[in-house]
Amino acid sequence: MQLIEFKSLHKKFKEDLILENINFSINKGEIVGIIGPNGIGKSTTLSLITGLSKASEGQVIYYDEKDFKKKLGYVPQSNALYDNLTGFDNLSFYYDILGVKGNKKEIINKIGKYLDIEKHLDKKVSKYSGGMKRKLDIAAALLNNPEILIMDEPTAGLDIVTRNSIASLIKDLNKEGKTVIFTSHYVSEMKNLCDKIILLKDKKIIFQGSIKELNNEYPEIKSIEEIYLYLYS
Amino acid sequence: MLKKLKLMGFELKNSILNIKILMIVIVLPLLTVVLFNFAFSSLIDQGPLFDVGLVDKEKTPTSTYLIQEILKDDDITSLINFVQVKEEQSLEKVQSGELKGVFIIPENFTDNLIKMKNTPMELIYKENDIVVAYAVNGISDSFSRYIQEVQKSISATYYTTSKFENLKDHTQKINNSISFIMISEIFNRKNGIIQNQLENIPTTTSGVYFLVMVELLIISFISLYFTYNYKKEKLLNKKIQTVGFKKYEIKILKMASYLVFINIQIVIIFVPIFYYLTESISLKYILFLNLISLFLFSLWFLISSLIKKENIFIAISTLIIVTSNLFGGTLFPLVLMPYNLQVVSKMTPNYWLGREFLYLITGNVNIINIGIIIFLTTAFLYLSMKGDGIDA
Amino acid sequence: MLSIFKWKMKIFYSNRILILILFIIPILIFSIASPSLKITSNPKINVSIIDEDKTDLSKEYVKKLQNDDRIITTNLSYSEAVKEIEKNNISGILIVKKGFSEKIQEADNNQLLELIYPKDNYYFRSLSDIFVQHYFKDLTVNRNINYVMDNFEIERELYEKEYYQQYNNLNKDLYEFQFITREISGGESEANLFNEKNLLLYRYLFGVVFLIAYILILIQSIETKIDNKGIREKIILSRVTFPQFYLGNLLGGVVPIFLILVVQTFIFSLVSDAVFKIELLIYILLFSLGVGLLSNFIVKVFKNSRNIYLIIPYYIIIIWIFGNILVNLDFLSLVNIKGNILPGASTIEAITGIMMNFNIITIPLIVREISLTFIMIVLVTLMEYKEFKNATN
Repeated sequence: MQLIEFKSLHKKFKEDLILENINFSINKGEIVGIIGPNGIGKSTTLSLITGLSKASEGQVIYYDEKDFKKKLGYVPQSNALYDNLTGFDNLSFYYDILGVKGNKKEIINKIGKYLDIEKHLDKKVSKYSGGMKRKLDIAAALLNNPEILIMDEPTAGLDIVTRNSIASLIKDLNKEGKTVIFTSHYVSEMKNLCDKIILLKDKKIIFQGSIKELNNEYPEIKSIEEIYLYLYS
Repeated sequence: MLKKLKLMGFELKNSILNIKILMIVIVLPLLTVVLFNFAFSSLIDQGPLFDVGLVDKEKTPTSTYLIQEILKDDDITSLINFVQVKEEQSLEKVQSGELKGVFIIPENFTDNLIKMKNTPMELIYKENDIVVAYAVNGISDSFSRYIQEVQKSISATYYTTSKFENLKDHTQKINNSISFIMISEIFNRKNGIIQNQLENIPTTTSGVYFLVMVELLIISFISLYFTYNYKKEKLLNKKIQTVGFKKYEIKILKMASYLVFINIQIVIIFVPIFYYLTESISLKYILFLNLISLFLFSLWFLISSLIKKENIFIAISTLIIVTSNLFGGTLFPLVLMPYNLQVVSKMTPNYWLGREFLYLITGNVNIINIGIIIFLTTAFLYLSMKGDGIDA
Repeated sequence: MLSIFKWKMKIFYSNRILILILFIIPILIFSIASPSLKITSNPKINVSIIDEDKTDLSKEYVKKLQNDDRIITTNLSYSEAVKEIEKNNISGILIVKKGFSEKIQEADNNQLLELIYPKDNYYFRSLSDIFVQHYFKDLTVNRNINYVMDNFEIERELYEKEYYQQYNNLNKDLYEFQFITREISGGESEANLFNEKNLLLYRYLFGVVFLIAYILILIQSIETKIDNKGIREKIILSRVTFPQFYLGNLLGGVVPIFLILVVQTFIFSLVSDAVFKIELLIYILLFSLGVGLLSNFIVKVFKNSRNIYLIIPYYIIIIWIFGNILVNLDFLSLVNIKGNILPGASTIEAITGIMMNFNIITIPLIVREISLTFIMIVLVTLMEYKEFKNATN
């Protein structure tokens, strides 16, 4: 079932063209990765999906428009946390503004446990490591039990162990039926996680499809990492 | 050596090429001092600042004479200019602000004075106009004493003359004549004083002192700002260490470049205004301001080394500067502070630094005091190196 | 809106040390300084006295000066005294001229004393009355006696004796001269002006406290501004509307300040003669709102928070001139610059007046403050809206 479709979409920022003639769709239950080096328009694409940004031309079609934003969980690129407050206070804030119903403390502690940060919730965020902050961001996005999770570079700047744990988390969330859309420049994550990848280059989509389809398109290149280097070097 | 100069140059370029900082550090002080010079010089040079009315309800020759004497007396207080007004206009003029207050000489005032009856004088003014209240209070206080003395002496004359046979019949005439003379006495009282003003001795009420204190205020914040920046650039400083600089070298070199920046500000703003006020300028004033800047830097570095969190450091340091200036004589004249608060002033660094600058101008430099400043600067710097905050 | 408000309050109170400073320091200042307002502790001036006359009368005169608690006297030679003036240890020199006692006896009021002081010491200039007061009585008495002697045949010694007897028998209370003050609103109060000596200082102290409030509220605004792009994006996605965000953010910053200031002013009334009245709450709320908005405005104009710290000295000076805080600078109307054009300034006047128990007309002050607050609300709302919208680009 289709969730979102981009039709002939152009995005300008002031006079600069950021994205040109973007066409793709995302189905329910998929893990979609948008890949490319820094500054290519990945975050812009995500902001168009969330509705934070509007297209200059073309359309973004939501097939379940009425409830789309209610079902959304968003993890921004920069930590959306206030350092001087505790983890619990930060989650409490998002809990309140998302209008989540239920026992606040119970829900927050449950999510904390799920992400293995429960023991740190009473500490100030300034004392958290990079990985813990990211997990707290993800926890904030999961508070309203979203059906669609949008994450902007969730593993950027983290060590390999933490990256792996976040990758596992994404898989687990997908198994629960959540659609996950994320951006990254780590090719290995794409390889192991995504049902569909979208490659951006020179303001356009140069490939969209599964890893298998990407391999088939470049049969002479052995690995995904090499294809990535070939495309972007 | 070249590496060291390059580091200084880089730091200086960062500060100078930042147009916002330049605007703040150069244009704003200029505007401030221009505004202040205007306001302040009118306070100390121009004389009377507010008009106070006089109403004569008595309308006798004596009361007319009294009013004329008050109008002529330019020595009552330098702040007030007396103006004769009609009673019906007086309230309106105070309400509109044209007059800051009105003294009303009631009916039979001088007559009662002569008859030794105490008739109060009426005073209308805006109660919450504090400076007017202060000035008027001063006049009233002083005037009351003289009027009391005059009344007592007239009474004593009256009672004495009535005791002597050959004077009894002349008592009233004596009283009338003497009263006239006594009222003049009040207004001629300061003929007894020769005033000699010494030139070229700046005091804590002078314009040049104010300029120095404002410059100290500005340098305090510039030095704080740069120390705050230094603290925020912890990581950058650590990287600089990896190319061969020692911790203390980075600190001193950066301080030196900030000092160059402060000197640009001193030369553009402080020097011309100082020269305009005193018609002299000397290198020793600039050197002393540099010494003060170093002292302030060392103080902020020390505090910064004791406080890890940047926002707390900036809050506490700002508080130190603000209270030191509020009680140290920058914004309120030291001479007008009650004795107890003058003691508090002496606990602020601003008080001592300002005084030392005045000594410099009059050639009374106290080497010991300069030595203390240098010693404290070195001690603070040394202790800050030992501290945790920046170097952690 | 409530969620944003609660969150902003939490952020405000999370900066515990700043809150403590904001709270404690003004109370400390007031507590330390206000005892010197309760007792009439005048400024003291340092004067060096040189007696050139060296008679009994001149020595008596010098002794009176030494006993006057407004003056601290020293006996130095002229050159030593000038040196002390240069060092700012003394304010001036008083020379009792040769012939002082002779002239006093003749009621000749010419050149009895010489005052030497630095030209720019405008304060010292106004103090000559202190020195005149102590010989004025003798001058006056001799003037009276000499008049009778000059115009009538009478033995001086006899007359003088009787005169002093009569003088000393006078009921001094009957001669205490008073001024009746009338405050401009039309209310009448018989006030002894001698008790109002410390009004200036009281006003200054309140000014100090509010000035510190201005600065610390600015610092607090800097430290608690929501400039994290991620947080803003998430707020927008939660479908919190702009008015909800704006009001929650504003009130979350203003209410804590209001609470702190209310407690502070109450404590001021406990440690000094200042009075706390319920109507103060309105003015404190207006002050908190006005200064909160002003700080917000400054933070938005100077986006880089580090640079804001550089403008603080000028902020202090602007508050001094336009905030009507430290000294009433109505004399600046020479150039048509009026005080009270800074947000918060009119409420300070109202708060200070009420706490000092004046009969103050507050309606014009409220009107002025509300107008300024309205202007600030419009400015800040526009800037905040622009930022809110830009988060979506």
